[in-house]
Amino acid sequence: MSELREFVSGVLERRGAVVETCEPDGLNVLLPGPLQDAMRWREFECLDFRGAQAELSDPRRAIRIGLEGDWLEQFGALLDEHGRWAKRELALGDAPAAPGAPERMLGHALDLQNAVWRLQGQRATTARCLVLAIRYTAISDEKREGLVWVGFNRQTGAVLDSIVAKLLPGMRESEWPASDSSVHIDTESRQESALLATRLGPLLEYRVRQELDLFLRAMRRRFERDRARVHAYHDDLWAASQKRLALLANAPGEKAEADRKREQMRAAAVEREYRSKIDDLRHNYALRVKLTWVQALDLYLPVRRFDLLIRRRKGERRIALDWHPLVRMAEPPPCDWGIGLGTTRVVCDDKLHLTEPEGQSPCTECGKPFCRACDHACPRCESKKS
Amino acid sequence: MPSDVQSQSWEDWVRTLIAAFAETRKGTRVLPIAEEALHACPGNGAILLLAATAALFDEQPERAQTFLKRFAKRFVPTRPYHLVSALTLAQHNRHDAARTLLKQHDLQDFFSALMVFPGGVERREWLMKWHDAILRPARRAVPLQPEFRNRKAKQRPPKSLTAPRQSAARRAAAAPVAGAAVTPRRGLPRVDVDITFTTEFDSAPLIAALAGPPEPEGGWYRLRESLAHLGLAQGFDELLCLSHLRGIESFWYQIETVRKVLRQFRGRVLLADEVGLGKTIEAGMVLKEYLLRGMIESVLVLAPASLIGQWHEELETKFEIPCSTTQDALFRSDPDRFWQGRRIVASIAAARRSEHARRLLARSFDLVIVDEAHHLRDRASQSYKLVDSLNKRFLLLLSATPVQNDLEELYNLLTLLKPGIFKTLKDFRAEYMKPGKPRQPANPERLRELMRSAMIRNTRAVVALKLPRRHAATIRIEPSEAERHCYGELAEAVRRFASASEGHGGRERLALRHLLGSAGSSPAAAAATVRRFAERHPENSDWIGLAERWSLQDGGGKEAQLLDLLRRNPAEKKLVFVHYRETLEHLAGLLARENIAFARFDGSLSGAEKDAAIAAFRDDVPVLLSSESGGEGRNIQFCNTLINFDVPWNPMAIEQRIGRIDRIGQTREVFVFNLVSRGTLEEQVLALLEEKISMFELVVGEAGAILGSIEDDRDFSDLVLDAWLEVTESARHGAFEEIGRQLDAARGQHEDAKVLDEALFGEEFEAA
Repeated sequence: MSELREFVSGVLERRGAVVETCEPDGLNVLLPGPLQDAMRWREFECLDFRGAQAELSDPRRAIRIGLEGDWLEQFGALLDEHGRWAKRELALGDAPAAPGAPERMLGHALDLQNAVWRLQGQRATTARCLVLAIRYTAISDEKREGLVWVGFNRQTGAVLDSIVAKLLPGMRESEWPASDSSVHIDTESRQESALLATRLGPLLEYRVRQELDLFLRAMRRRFERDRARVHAYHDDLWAASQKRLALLANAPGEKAEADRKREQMRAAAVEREYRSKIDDLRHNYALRVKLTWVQALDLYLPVRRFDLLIRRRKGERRIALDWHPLVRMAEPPPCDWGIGLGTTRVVCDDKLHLTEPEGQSPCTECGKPFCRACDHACPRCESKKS
Repeated sequence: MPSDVQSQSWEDWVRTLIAAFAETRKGTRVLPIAEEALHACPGNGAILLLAATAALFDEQPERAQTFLKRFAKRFVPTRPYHLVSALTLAQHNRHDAARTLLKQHDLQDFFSALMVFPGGVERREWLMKWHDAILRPARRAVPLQPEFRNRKAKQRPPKSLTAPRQSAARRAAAAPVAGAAVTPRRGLPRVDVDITFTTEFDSAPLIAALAGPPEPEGGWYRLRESLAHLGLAQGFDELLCLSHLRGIESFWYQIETVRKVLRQFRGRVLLADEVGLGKTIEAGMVLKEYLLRGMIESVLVLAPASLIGQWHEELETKFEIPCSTTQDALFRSDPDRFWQGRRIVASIAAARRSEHARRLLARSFDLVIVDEAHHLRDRASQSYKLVDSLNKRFLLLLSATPVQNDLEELYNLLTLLKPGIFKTLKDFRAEYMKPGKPRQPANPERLRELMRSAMIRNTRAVVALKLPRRHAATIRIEPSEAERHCYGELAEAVRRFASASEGHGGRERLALRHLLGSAGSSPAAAAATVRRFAERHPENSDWIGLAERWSLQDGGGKEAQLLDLLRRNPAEKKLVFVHYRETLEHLAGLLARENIAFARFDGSLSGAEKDAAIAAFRDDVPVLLSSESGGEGRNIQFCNTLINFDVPWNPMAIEQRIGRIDRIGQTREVFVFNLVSRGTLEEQVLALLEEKISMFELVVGEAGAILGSIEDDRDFSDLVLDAWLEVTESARHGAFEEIGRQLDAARGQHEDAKVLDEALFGEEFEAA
């Protein structure tokens, strides 16, 4: 459990303890008063991370630390609110500063279906990005937990998921130089709120669905099997009832009439029972996902920024699109409606919003195409479902 | 804490707590005992639930809440958990929430609640008091409860059909038109529903944090990131073993299986995946995960004798878990020391012998894995008794066909994992077996429900696994007259020696096996082996003469055939397996002379040299000349042609060779060529395996399941050697016939078991 040992060592050191590693898999710690109180430990303690092996030889009466029990909660409490929001700058290093063929790169990165773009200029600059780590807890007939990372370019508004995914492993390995903490612009946090309010929810749902794809598929398979079983059982009962009804159909007399009614009631009861069982299934399999913010990173990345002019009919709009030399990838184009992970955009006539193709599709109620970034409801029939 | 308390197992603690619950009537507190139990077994789910219950008995709902939270982090909440949660809420005076919880999990009925109550029936009055307190307001408001309305609706005819106030339209729809024929509808209309997916995210803390300045350095950030990962690992959502696997690609269903074994089954499960899906890999992953988490230290793998080598190799090369096996010299020389080992792979037949079983039962193991666990189906057998009596915490039973003959076998296996799951055998028979039809479950749904709590079975259909087709050809080569003469002479000499040295133990037998095996491999190997044997037996000069005669033989037909195969379709990679070092040397010289580029892979190479050999085979040369260890733990699925220059007598060794290229991930058809000289023991072995069990058409892993039924503590190669050593021609013929009959029966039994298990389990137990 070297990861746990490193974590515990890091937390205790940051809380003022003197920590010394001892093999195999142990720590000797000298704790300051407040930490002694918080952990209810003596001034000097030996911590043993060997789990079951520790049972074999424990001459020093070391404290056994493991993932079992509530150790993680106790050490987590020592973090308090630290580590939730940090700033980091990445340097260009040996990476190439610009793509070899910018026009070709942009041709791949931006696919405008109903407009044209012109490259107006390019420059090397620093992009300020927001990277969020979110923990999901999905609960249904089973529980599944995990972490997802999402990222935004705070200046262009682009979603940086694939770029973040490529950057993270290297960032974990490399040094983290201290930076100037004074950079903080309050106006940006207001923009941030708007960005997070509109973009984060759908993006997170999309990402969590991706993460839970196998889990969901397995659940759907079980659900379908249960649904088929419930149907087969009730269908048998119902078919038997229908058969009896068919036999009684032409029978004369009051008794036959009473039997018919009874059989109809039975069939109706089977239908009701079937629907209630399906309702139970739906309830049992409903997947509720709770998302909890874990930490955020204010990330400064060297980029090559391309200024583009978008033309649609008589309208024009300027956008910026960044190419990230550290991963040699262009980010997806800005997106005013939709999750914004792909490269295809449709431009609206009025305000030249860039949206995913569905953002300009016809209203499902009346058939009028409209821009979802301009109007939340169909301007003709006012249907919000469209 | 006293040492005897420390040494108690979790089962002991469960018993102690239940006894405390039963005896404690008034005044005495049970929570301290529960705390003590938790100290000894901190992460145990059963103890956590009992501790929460104890806290409630002592009216400390906050403490109960802590235990429940800890339980929910690690395990899938079950009905007992929900009941204890509801009682905790009730002690917090949150009766509405408690009521909702009981309703959600169908625990409103007192007897349903009592059935799952961890506190036991002795505390039924206590439970009744709290259960009643939770439901009292609800019972007053019965008409408002939808289920109660539904129940009433079931009991009396629906109003729409009986009440006079019903609408005319509905009445018209409901009443049949007199004299009109009622046409039955096609079927009950299906209700179309899907799984609802809802997300809940409170962005306020994030937005509030972003309004403040970020931390300028990353120390705390990295610690929090670590905490997040460790939190996931704690609940087994992140597996630590994945980054420690060597040369294997783990598949999603295997990862799901491992998660379930750890989280839901708490290390006691029957892994009943269909053949070829990698039960051994799953068990190895569970083992590695427990080791990495420090949750176990001692491991015992019990397997049929023929699978020992395979387990040993897989654990060492794929999981980096060194272990000792019953094939080691130490097992024979110092069994006391052998059985004290921390990681042991043992033949179950050897382990159950009284002198070994005694040593095994005197110690404890953290994890016991039993491969081909259907051999434990008979509870009167020594194997069953041994596994049942072993002192163990976790138990993994592996079998693709757990039920071979009747349902009682299932009772036996699952009772090993979860004692009491089916109550007594009498209860099981009464409840789940149809009289006179031992293979048909009487109550299949309930039986499956219970089995789900102790068994995982992935099927190829569910995991959408398509295995490539395999084509095998055995090329029988006519040896030269001189070679035939040498082989005959050697066989006779071996028979004479065997009958003369009967009772002289395993060493001579091993030597005889080598003599015959090397003669089946190549004249070069035979000459070297006979020479070594002659040096050990100088009293008999015949052996020296025989060695000389072997050394005069050339490679003959087998070599020519090999060269022919290698020259065909030269762009295709070909893996040539050879058992004997001398044969390998000889073939290396031959290929060099014939200008066929090749890489060489054998046990004498270092790890880096082995990697380089595989890389050269992948990128540069068309042939890999390999000893038995060829490609162990390495990915060589880029090759799809295998040539067995010599043929091992142990079918598992043949299967292991094939398994190097015919495994999950191989996308092309696989070609296997076996080269044997006519009149040799190898020819007999192949004839038996091909004719009786269609060895080369079996899925990898299936041969072990079949052969397990005919082997006891002796593997197949021993049986064929015995037959070959029969002195007269007719006795030899009879002995091979007998092995053939056994193989026939074993194959038949295996096929029957497959059909039975398929019907019994279907696709109901998959991990994901």
